[in-house]
Amino acid sequence: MRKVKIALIAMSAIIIVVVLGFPFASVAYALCSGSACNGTDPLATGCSAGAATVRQKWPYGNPGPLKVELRFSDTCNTFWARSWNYSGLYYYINATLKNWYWYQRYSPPSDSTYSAQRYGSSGFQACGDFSTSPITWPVTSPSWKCTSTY
Amino acid sequence: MLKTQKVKMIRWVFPFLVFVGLAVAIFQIRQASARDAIGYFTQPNLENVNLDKQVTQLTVNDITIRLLGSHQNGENYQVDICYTLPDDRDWLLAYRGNEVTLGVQDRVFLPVEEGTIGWLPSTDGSKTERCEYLLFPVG
Repeated sequence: MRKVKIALIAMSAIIIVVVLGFPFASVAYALCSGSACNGTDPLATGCSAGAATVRQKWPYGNPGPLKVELRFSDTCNTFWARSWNYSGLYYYINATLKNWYWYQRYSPPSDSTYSAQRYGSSGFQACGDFSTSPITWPVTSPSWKCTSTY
Repeated sequence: MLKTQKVKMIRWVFPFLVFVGLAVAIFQIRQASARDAIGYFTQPNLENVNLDKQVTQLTVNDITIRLLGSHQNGENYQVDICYTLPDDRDWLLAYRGNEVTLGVQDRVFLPVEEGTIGWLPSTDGSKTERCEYLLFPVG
């Protein structure tokens, strides 16, 4: 019985150390590689750590309510779209990786929304939009809502 | 005797399971809050840098900015620039969009797009310079 108590206490201590010490915002390793990353969350897979914004566009002008970014991870060789709500108000924000994935949510001001990621080396565009209603479709046109192709 | 030990075991295991469940919940919450934990870094802070066709390169605080060229690109005016990278973070010329401007006579334009042309590596393979284009809607 005493040994069981000691084992339970030791396991509890290990769990505390793991939960508090685990790097959530910047995972140093990727949890996917190659086409296995397709359709996955770039943050959850660790691919966003060290990623770069290779295109950013202000579709409604600058200054404007929306910024659309094309993000690239050289850890995972993946691309995804990210849209920023700079309107100062809550809006539905859509981030679309053209021809691949899109995601939308009701976003607070100064917050971002991002799509799933796609493995590749080039040929990607990010598109985005904002609205008072949900944008439950991929944003692909008009072209001014999209970045140029990387 | 056996029944007493069983009861004692349950008294210990049940709180342990609750604790594990709580730890998992904390894990999920921290992971969810990290989804949008994106930073906007401002250091090192640079002074204003002005480039034009006469002054095509400037170095301030060990950061060198080079004007590669500029030309009309459709309705926009494109300016190509390279700059030294202070470290290995994702440095850009603009973030909110008002950090870089194009002055034409007495008019000031903000960019509508910024894009990466490429990175120049050092001998050890790390990225030391980034080259980009900026599109300004001159009409």
